Amino acid sequence: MAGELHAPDSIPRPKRRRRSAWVPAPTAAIRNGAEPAAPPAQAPKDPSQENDLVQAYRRRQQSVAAILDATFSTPGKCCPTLWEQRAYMMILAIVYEKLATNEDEISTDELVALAKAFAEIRRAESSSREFRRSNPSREPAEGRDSDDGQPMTQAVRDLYGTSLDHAASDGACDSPRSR
Amino acid sequence: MANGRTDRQVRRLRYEVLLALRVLYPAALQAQQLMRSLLVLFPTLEFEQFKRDLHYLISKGYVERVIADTESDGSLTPWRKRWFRLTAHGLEVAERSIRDPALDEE
Repeated sequence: MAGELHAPDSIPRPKRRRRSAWVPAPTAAIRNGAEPAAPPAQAPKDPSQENDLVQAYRRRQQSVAAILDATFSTPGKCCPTLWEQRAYMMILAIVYEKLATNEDEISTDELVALAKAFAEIRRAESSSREFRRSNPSREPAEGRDSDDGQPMTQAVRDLYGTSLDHAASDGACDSPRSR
Repeated sequence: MANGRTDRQVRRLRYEVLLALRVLYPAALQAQQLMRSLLVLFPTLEFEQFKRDLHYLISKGYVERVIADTESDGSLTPWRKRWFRLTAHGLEVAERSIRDPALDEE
């Protein structure tokens, strides 16, 4: 998944760290798209142990939810169309995956670059909306990048080496549809 | 039993899928990401089993697929790469506003 983001060379990939006991062994195989072979890990037999695991998992999910809510809910609330944009979903899903599975710790550099790119795109979209609101007669042709967004997107890319649009450009789109 | 799993395990897995998707609602998760997080709780889970449960949740209207415009033919997208999210009904079940005996773990 992280590979789909097409992080530029300037963003160092995190080094693989030894996995904690949190994530079971089959996860590594799944990461590379491989079917898990014979299950090497066994579910706990002891009900109390199983219950502990479930409780720990739930606590972790709650923590992840709190972090994602604090990080993403504000743009989500002010711009519901973002919910269906692939770039937004990708960022959200990557952060979720990193937090929920603790598989590869996201590096500070990577997180900072993603956060800056995300913030700049949001700022560009806000400016664009403000501009349209103050100049209702001058409607952009189509989409957020048609008028004001494009220079800003390019500037973000120049500054940080990536942008959400860049992340979404490979086989992606801005308006997925659900069925 | 369903594919070597007990009914309780199946119910628990389905409910955990809803809970995981609830974290990101209304955004979506790819099937492979969802499965990775669930492997913590179900280390022996295989993708085909997981796919079967996703099918079930879609049939019940709790989960829906999100198709990107660039997916010219959505049926060609590998299951692992497909995006899924909760429906409003699924969210209510995940939050226990609505009880579904088929997903109750107790």
